[in-house]
Amino acid sequence: MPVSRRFLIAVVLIVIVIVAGYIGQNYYSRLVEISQREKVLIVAADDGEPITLDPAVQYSTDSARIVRIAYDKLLDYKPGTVTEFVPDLAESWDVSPDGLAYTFHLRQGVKFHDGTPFDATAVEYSFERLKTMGMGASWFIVGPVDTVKVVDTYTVTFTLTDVYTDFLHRIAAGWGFYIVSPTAFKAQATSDDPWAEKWAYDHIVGSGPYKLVEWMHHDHITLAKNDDYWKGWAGKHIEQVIVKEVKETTTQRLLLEKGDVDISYAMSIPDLLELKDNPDIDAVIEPSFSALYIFIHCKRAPLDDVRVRQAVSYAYDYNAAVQTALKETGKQMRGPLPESIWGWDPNAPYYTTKLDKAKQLMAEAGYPNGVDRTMVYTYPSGDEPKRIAGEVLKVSLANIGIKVELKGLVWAEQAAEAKNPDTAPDFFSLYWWPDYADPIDYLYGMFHTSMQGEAGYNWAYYSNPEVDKMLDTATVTPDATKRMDMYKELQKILVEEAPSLYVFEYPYTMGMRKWVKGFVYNPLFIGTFNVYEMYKELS
Amino acid sequence: MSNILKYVAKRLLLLVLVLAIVVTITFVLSHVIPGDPARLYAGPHARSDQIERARIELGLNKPLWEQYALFWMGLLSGNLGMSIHTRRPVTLDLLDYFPATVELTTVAMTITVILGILLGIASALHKDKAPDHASRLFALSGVAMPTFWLGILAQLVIGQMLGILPISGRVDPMIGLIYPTQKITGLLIVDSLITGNIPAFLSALTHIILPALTLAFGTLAIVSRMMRALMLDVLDKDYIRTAKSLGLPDRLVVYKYAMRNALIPVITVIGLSFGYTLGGAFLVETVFDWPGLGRYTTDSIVTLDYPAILGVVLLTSFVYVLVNLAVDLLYAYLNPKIRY
Amino acid sequence: MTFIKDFRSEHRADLTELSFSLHMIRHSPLTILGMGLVSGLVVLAVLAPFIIPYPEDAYVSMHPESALMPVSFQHLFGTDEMGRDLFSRSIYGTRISLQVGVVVIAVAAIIGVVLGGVAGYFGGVIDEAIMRITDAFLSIPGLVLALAVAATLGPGLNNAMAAIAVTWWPWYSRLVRGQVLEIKQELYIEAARSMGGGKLYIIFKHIMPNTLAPIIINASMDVGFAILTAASLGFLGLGAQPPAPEWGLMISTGRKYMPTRWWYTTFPGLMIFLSVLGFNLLGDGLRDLLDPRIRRKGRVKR
Repeated sequence: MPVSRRFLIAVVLIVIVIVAGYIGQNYYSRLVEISQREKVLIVAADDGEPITLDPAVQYSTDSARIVRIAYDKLLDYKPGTVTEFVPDLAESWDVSPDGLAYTFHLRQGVKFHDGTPFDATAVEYSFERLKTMGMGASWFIVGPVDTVKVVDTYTVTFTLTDVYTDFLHRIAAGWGFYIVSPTAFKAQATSDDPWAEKWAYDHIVGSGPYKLVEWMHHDHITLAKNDDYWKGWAGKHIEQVIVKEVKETTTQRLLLEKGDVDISYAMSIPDLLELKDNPDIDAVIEPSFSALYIFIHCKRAPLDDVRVRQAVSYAYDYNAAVQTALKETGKQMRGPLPESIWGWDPNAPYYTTKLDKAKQLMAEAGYPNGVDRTMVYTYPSGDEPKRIAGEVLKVSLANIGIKVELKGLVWAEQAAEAKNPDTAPDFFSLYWWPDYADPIDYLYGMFHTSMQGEAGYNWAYYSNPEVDKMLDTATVTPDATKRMDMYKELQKILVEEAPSLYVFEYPYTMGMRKWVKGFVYNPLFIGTFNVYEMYKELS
Repeated sequence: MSNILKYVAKRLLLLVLVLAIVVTITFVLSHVIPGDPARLYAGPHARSDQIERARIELGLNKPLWEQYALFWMGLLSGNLGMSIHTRRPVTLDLLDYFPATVELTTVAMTITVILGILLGIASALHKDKAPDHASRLFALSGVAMPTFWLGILAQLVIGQMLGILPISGRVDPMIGLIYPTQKITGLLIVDSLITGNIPAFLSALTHIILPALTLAFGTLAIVSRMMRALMLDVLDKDYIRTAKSLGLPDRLVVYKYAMRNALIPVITVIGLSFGYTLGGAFLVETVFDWPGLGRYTTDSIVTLDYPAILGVVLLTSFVYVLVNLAVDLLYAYLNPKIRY
Repeated sequence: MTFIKDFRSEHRADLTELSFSLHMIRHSPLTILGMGLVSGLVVLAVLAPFIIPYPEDAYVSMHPESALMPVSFQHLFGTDEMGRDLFSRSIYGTRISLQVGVVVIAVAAIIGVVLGGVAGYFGGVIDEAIMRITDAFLSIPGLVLALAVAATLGPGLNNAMAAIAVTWWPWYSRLVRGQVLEIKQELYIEAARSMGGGKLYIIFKHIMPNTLAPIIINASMDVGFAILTAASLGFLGLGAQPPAPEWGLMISTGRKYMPTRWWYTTFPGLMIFLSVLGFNLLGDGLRDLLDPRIRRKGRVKR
């Protein structure tokens, strides 16, 4: 019959097209010379779409990933360490005997992507910009500084308001102080927009090893090597980076297994655990300093009663949360700090699930039969660990008569709500990872009175003058033993007052093809990669 | 001839009116948004003064009717507002993502039309026999199958288990980087072919197969059943019986007469199914990471980028209305009874 | 005895119709399949809390030790990442989906009937105005409009239902208007002949039975499609929120645990498929039953 013959022909044609495409694609994949393919690093990340490329605004992994390799800082951490520094744009530095003045001797001969030279005025400009805009990481970099002085073309001095012993940490932190090209930025400034914020959103003019090539929103962003990078290109280096936004962990995994991407960031823990047996893939699961907190709104009844907060802390099923979200890769937090951080007190108290204690506390506070109104827990929709933590919260608190409703929001909406104490939810989930490896970074940002609302991350709206005083003092106390004592006291108070649930520490996870070499993990730089030192060996 | 012109003119007028109402609906939607659009526009890290600046920039402090008028003026000058997320005019974003969706929907519709018609004819000719039952089963499952589910299954089975086709993106990223395609029409397959970029062409071809097939599946089923019903209807008609009894060969009868007459109403079905395909494209793009309007919309939903979402609504409506107009005109041209 | 005899002779015509209907149904296996599926789903929805093996898993519970377990006798559909039984959740999901489908179509149909009826009855400018607005809503591809409205209103099942209803009413409006216009034609002729008795009464007596049939046919098929649309919205994150056991949401969550845990996405998808199929077949069968042209032919869709 003529029709079935036609049908057959159509099917055969389709098959031919598919086969041809398959062969062709693989053949031409191989046609791309290995030496060429080795120079390109392809990363699939679920947060592959940066929120901004502006180094003075960026404060999350999506943006930091790009900023870190396109801009430079004055110092960097020695690879793999969190306490030793190496020179970057600053060749050397001295500290004045009174600990208040830091003088940086800058590297000469460095050029920005636009060809203009790097010097002390660039440092001054970048700092002013960060300070005036007041966003992102400015709170911990700008706070301690009193003045910035250009001593000469290649020397700049920072004078501090007090003896901040961790000042160098703040300068080296990956979230913070990047040097931008004053010429390029000033050229884009307008009277409405004196710091070129609009332009800096999607333009890069730094001194780093990579330049921006293309940014296709919601799809991928491409960077290529900066030929004038001051460290030079001798030896083996990645020359081009593509970061693709791949939201689904399954797709990430498939792409990684097929070798279509080199690194897959933020695959789910179950997927990673399964990949451990794959000979071609490195399933990286490393302890990190990152932890999940659930803030409890300290200014809203009945949570303003510390007994209720303690009841919540006793009712929460920590084991279930850890087991479900992280399997064996995570553990419950013991106190408000992650274990691996210096300053963590192994003897600090912490809560374990004790339902009867919880009920007793609820009764003492006057709620033996629970609470009438339904409380709200917010989290960014799509975030599995936070969602699971929320579901655990719902089940756990049902046991003490508190109903919890889960609300999955966009992060922007979630943050915006939390910045206002009236609209902030009863329970707010937050990951905290360190800006730099000191307890002050955690505790100040989350629990200092001045960090409430728009200023910082104190969205538990917790305010304790004694805690504030200790936090302020500790930063400027050079004596390590005294600091340690203060940290111990702080941890004790923050557990007793329970402004937050301290849920779990979660590991740094990443899937990487074994042909990628040179990656150095640093818990202070999660989600980002030291691309310049990396290279691929495909043969 | 003037009748056709009158018809076309009438339809165009109606089209404008309808689009005007669509614009109004969009405007209403944009003002029903919960939360503060100025704050959303200023971004998650914004200070209060930046939020106020955003409010003025977006014209939110003006009375409603003035905003409506401004909305229209902006529209007519091609300004659909600024995307909150990409900080670019929505129009530019749409221009970037539109071609990918056009490519996907065109390929899917082509598959739908060709395969649908062929299948429909085949089932009509073999009525109540194996091919007919198979196609009936196929049609029923096609209609009931959730598109996104099918896409996921396709990724799983064909992409992973069998490993023969790619499952994500429009082109292999390595090839996209090393053999970049010059943008002429924005349709990768066309552009790469025109510029002789064979690696990119083959890569683009393999990448479009799964998404297009997934997308075509549902409408394919509907079209084939329609075609079957119409063919049967026509084959039953007297003039066909006459032709057959006069000894005209079957093949001639089927193709020259029956099919042509059945095709005409099928065209309207195809026009309607285009709307369904557009909607389905959104789901397919999400599943296959296809960088088109669908992905843009779902990403915009996640970031609460309302100007972007509404821009997409306007664009897709406009396209859909145009396609339907073309279909109606074609139908009127082919069917002498309708001309007026 | 006489009562039955009288009843039979009085309603002879109706009874013949009824027995003819039953005959048609009996000879159409697909319609029977459709009815079976739909009644099965309704039964499941109503009895869900009582018949599912792990009722607490439907909403608030977790058993981390039995997370992501494959299909077994204790867990017919496996378990999810919180250790909840997917069989129970899928069955319970019937409640949500069926509720959504029926409510959405009911609301859409009511709005559509009212608007379409008004347009058809009054004609003129009102007709033009309503029809242009209907056209405008129909110009926006269904899912796109539902997405936009749902995104605007925010996540949540009620918002999703409103969004879907907004996309569906235009079809009914058009349908009813067409019906009313047809009937109006006949009515005018009739009225011209009669002595001008209560037009409203005639309209009521004639419009209702005639428009009811197409509405019911469309509605039954549309319930299936409404369920599908709701699942699509749930898949995209708009619609039911966790921990609700909504099918689309389960597929979206389950996607993160593929490919080794294939059961997580497969079974909820299967439920959607069966629901849409059932309502489709039912609608098809009803069309054969109620559409007078097909009835008269006596031909039945096999």
